[in-house]
Amino acid sequence: MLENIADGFLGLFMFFSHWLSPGVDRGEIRIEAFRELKTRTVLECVILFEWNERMSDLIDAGIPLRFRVLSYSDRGDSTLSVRTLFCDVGEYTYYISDSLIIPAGDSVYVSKAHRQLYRALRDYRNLRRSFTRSASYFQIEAVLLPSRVSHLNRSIDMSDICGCRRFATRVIGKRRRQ
Amino acid sequence: MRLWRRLELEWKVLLLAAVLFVAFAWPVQHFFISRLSATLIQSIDPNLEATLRFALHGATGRQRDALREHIERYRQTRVLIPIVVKEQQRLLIALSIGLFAFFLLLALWVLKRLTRPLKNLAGAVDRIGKGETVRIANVSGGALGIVEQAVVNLQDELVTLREKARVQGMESAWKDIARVMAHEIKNPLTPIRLTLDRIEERAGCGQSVSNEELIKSLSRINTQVDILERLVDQFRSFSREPEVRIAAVDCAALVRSVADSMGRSITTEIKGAATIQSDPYLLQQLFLNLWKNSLEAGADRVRVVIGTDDTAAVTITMFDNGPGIPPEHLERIWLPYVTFKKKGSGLGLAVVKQLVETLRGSIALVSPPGQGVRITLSFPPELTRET
Repeated sequence: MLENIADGFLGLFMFFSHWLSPGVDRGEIRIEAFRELKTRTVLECVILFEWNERMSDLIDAGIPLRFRVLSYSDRGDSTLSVRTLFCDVGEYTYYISDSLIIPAGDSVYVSKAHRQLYRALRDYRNLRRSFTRSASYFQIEAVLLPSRVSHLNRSIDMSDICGCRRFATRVIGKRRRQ
Repeated sequence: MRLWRRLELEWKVLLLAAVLFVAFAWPVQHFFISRLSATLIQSIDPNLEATLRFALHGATGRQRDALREHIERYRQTRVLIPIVVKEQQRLLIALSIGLFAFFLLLALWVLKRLTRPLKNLAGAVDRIGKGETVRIANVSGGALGIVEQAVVNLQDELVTLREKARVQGMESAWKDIARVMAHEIKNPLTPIRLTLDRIEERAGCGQSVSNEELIKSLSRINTQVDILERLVDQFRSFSREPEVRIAAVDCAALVRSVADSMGRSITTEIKGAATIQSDPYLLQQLFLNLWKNSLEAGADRVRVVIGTDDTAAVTITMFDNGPGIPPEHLERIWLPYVTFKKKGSGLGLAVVKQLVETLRGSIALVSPPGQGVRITLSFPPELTRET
């Protein structure tokens, strides 16, 4: 119960912060953290794109938001996944799923369910990718995919609403800089 | 406005079509799309979701799944209406522009097909007007074909008319030559006739004619015969300018001899003197025409003043006491075959003007009301020097 109230307050706070914040005209992938661990290099980033009421309406109508995320390094380790945000209309619950196409091949991981859209959105935007330790060059690309409207037997392109279709970022590791 | 006039028809049509498209087609489609969007949104029951959700609370199993699907369909329909309408609007605009471009190209093609033959026809008509024979291919159908046929007929008619005009022109030219010859031959004949009449008159009255007077009369007749001979020579070489034989001419003596040749029919008073380099025969012909003109107009007294003007040009001013020329006729007096006298040929002053121009002089005629005519001949200073 308390957890639901806390989620509610957090959701409300994020709604207002989205409402007040200036809109992002173009999408970008912002690097939040770059960690070089013993065996892996971990990149934590945020996919930024414009969010507005129409986007909320689309998600609330059960139309999924899909990004194809490709990450690769100069060591040849690459990951291709489709990240989806969708809403269960009956339960008012938002789910985030990652369909890993490369290297595992169609492995679907569903993240935690959220009761508030903005909390789900925060999770949806956060990306964490790990690469082999020896890599010195990393690139992450995100492409907005058309969304299927299940009951109307068609798909729509949300890029007109969120203001971008494809964005990418690259990071050059310490070894390369040296 | 000038630019609009200079624009060709097809570009005018193009511009008008573009203006009409922007002015009408765009707002009209915007209006209909807005109406469509509003109608579609209004067609969805806003309470439907609440009803479905109420039913969902008590539902289980398949019924619950079905209700969930209904809610989802309801939401998707509602949220997609603006997107679908926007898509349809874009499609409609693209179709409108496509259709506009298609009809524009069609119109341009049709206009080109229409205007190009018209331009060719205009060029052909222009060349026909200049006397060229143009071959017009009558291949267009419809109204354009009728115009082409009309131009072909026009050309045929013009060829016929030109031939007729050529024949008539030749006839007219021969008539003119005959008139000019008659007029110019008549001029020297008048002094001859007057001289002979005087001798005949003397003889008729029983008066004797002195040798000196006889020689003078014969000399006068001889001079006029010379003029006649020269006239014949000039008519023989009709197409050429009169030949100018420059010699020193005593203006006063020349005017006096012309006045003498006119006999007593007109009294002449001469003042001043000057010598110019000119053709005495052409000058004599010139003055004879002037004297004869005054005589025919009804003058019986002529006063001549010879002098020089500010530019050192020799001026010979002739005043007569005739009725003068009305101001409204002054503009046309130098034109050939234009006469305001009952028995005039209309050639006298035209010949005078031509002779003055041949002798590189100038002539001015004024006719103050009730004061006869004043004619001023002016010969430039270079003609006064010995050559």
